[in-house]
Amino acid sequence: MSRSPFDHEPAIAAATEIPPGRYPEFDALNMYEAVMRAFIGKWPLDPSIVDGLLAAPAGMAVAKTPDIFTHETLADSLGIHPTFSETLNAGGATYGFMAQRAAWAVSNGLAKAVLCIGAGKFPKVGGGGGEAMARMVSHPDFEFIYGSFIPALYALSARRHMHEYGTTREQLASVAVSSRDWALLHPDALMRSKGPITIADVINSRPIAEPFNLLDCSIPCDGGAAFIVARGEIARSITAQPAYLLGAGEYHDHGPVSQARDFTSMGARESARRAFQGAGLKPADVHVAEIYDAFTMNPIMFLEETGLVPAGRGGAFFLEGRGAPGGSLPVNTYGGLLSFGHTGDASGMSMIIEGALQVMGLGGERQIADADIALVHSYGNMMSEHSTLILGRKP
Amino acid sequence: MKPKPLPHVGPFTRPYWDAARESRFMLQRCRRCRQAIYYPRPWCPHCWSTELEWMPACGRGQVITYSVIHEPPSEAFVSEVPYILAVARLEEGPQMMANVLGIEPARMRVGLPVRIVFEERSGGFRVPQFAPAEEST
Repeated sequence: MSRSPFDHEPAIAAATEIPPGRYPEFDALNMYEAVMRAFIGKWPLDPSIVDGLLAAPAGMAVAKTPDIFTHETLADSLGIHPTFSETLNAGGATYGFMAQRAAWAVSNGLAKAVLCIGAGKFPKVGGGGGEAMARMVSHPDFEFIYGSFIPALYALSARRHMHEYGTTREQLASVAVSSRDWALLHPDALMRSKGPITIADVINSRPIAEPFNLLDCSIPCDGGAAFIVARGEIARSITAQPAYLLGAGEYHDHGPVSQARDFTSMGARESARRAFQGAGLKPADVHVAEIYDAFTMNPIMFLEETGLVPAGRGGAFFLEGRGAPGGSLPVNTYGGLLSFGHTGDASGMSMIIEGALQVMGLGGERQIADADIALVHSYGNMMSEHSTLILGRKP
Repeated sequence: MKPKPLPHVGPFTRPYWDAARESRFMLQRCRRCRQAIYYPRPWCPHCWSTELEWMPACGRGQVITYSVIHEPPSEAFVSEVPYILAVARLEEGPQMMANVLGIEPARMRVGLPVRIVFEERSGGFRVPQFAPAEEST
């Protein structure tokens, strides 16, 4: 039996992501407006119930001057006057931390319904974007000068995992295959139209940074999403089956990745431990896992760190198809950033939206039959800061 | 061709880069807890002492992990590919990122012993790099 650490049964009451893709005519604010229009068009929301608003700096990945007052810009535009609101950034963990802060705000009575929103763009990797992003996540004087490059920084973990546990190239590739199979079931997934892929397709794609080839990398695009965390009784007035926040864990490990204390365990172990402890649940209770997957390495490592799979067995788990449609523990049921799309500074939204939709029973063609408990893991910077959420159907 | 990036030399890193210009590899050490520190900073991350000293380091280490980069992140590295980005544990204790120079990518391995060498960059900069510590034949 679970026991939530929160009072007032905070739950995700509404969750919507706009289709990932390229939005050339949309500037950073327009992306937020596109998300908000889709969100309020979809859910029966009375503006007077929303007294909290969390946003990320609009234009973080592409604009010269990101809007550090996005929360004020949006609140004004929406005509609301929150009692709990800020613009916050923790990279990919931003939205996981929003969910956590919103749940604590609801629990402590600071707000009754908190709108969490993010929209972003992935800069063109070839046009200087790759360099700009490498600069963003590297120590400027002691990493960036060595030609640090995001795929290579993740590859450091993959190589070490291969060394310590014998994880194979094929096992890494099988993560991409699994995600693609899920993407074929999602109407908005960017790679749905490309059809299924094989392990050979991944290994024979263009080499990027060993051991990664092109198909080990997530798909750059634009997009965004919004969700509301509300008190239980408000959540139930918005939707028949909210996704209750049963547990939440936050942990900050290293800064620059060269200073990671263990390249096969980056901090998710601790955020997950805290989340499970708060929820009074254990890894075996989880029915579906949504895990931030910038590269094929991540789901392997984070399934292990969160305790869903024993250390060193993540590669075999995917090679055996256990995370794929029909598998024993569905992972990244929307196609992941690998095949749904990586929406730049909004990418940390996608796994939360999907985890919530699965628990709410709104997964459409890809709905898991028994999605009573979902684990959602996201991280920011170079796997530096971690958010683990545990969502469930019962408060 | 675009030159490779240079570090910002600030008040807390100047001794490191000044020594590097003379091909000397220096590390900070905490006067209180005696631990070696990399990258340079104005305090000890272990005990928060602000009493640090600079010491000549032995310049030897061992590769913890690495990647061979095929796709250059920027114009400055186009002529370098494939090149190696590695993290090594220095004999004094701290971890450090650098490129491994002078080795065939196929010979790279976790555990490779490396030594510090210096790569010349624009403006008289010398950047500490790794090279195989054993003769690579």
